[in-house]
Amino acid sequence: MDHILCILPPDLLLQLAGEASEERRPAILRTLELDASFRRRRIELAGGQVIRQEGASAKGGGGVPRRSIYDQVHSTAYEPGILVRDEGGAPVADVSVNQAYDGFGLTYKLFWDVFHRNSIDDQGMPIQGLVHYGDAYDNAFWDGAGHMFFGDGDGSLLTDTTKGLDVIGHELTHGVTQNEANLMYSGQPGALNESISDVFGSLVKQYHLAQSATQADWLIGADIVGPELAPALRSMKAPGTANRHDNQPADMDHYQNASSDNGGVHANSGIPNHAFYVAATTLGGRAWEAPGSIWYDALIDPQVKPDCTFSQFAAVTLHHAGSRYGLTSVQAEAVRAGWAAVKVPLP
Amino acid sequence: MHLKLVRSGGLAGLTMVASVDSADLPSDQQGLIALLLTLGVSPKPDAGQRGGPDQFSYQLEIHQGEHSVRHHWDEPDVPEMVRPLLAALVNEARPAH
Repeated sequence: MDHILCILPPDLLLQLAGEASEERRPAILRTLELDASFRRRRIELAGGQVIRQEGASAKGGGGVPRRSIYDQVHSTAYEPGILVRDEGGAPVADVSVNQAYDGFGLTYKLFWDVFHRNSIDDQGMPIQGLVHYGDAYDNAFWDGAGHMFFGDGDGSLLTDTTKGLDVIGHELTHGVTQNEANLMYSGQPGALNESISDVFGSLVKQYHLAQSATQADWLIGADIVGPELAPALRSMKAPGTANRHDNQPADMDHYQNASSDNGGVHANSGIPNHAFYVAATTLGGRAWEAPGSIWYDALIDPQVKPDCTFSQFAAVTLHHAGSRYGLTSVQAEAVRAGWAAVKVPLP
Repeated sequence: MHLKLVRSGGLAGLTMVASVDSADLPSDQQGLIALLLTLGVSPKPDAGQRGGPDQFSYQLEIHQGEHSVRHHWDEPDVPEMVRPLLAALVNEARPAH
């Protein structure tokens, strides 16, 4: 009987579901996709499954991104819509398309120039952007399957999300994390996942602007916020001060055991964010060099497991600071200072 | 009927809350609201079946007299049928703090 239901229009199915018996309703609901146990997509975030894109080149090549930008034409479909700009293609009339394209290129450039990483998976993975997703959609996100989605913003919370270079770096770094530590997106591992995206998102912007750690503003999302969230989404320099709704803690004494947002991953990311800021500004110079390299080494270290805590990650950063520069180096001391500032214990 | 929506997650990590009477929502959503009230609690996602990074989660409560139900959806697993209702509620939502 279910095959018959599949050919009925949604409006009729809705009416039938409301009138159906308890026995019959589940079948109708499955057809309507209102049964939450029916998944159109399963993205394994904690199981280590990584979706490799077709056409990814073998590790060893690199230096040139493979970008494609699609126009979703305000649809909420997850499949790429109209291809509007491909790698090497000339700028188009749509500013959002060009900003996404350029942002992907600059993110690729940081990871290649500084960390010698060939795209998100270090194997030349194509990077696909889907702009104009939804209607006045106040968000941007990485879907875990090789795509970054961009909303146009609602004008109050967010504006065109393609304008935020650090936001683009943030989302693509979720892909990098997925391919490396694959940090679970909840609790401390989730907040660490968020922080790593903020760290490298900020570094993409700083690298592009050739800013030193003291010149950078250490704000996340300043270029995409609307008046409700101005001047920025988050501040790595001063967690909790980015906007009037900012509730980020700046140290472990104020860690939030939240019931929403997967255990407060966007709030508690303020703690490791600030640790990186302190380490980078203690050292001075360019944050993508010593601090960025230490954090990158930690991210790709197999010792960092999907359930990694702040303290465990801190220990790995200190280990890599010692390996690169020496246990008594100024770099190692800066890392210690960073974690001490946020009261994350080190061994 | 009274509806309360809590949207959490997203790139901004901002929790948005809307508290609305069904009569104030579009007329073409009334049938869906009544159906959602009838359905009861949606099965909770299993651990690990959460949405991707920076995607939204929605918790919708519907109250009618003594009867209340709660539904929960994580992006990308929001049924297409409920998206217009959620959009209408988000339009009425304000930051939780």
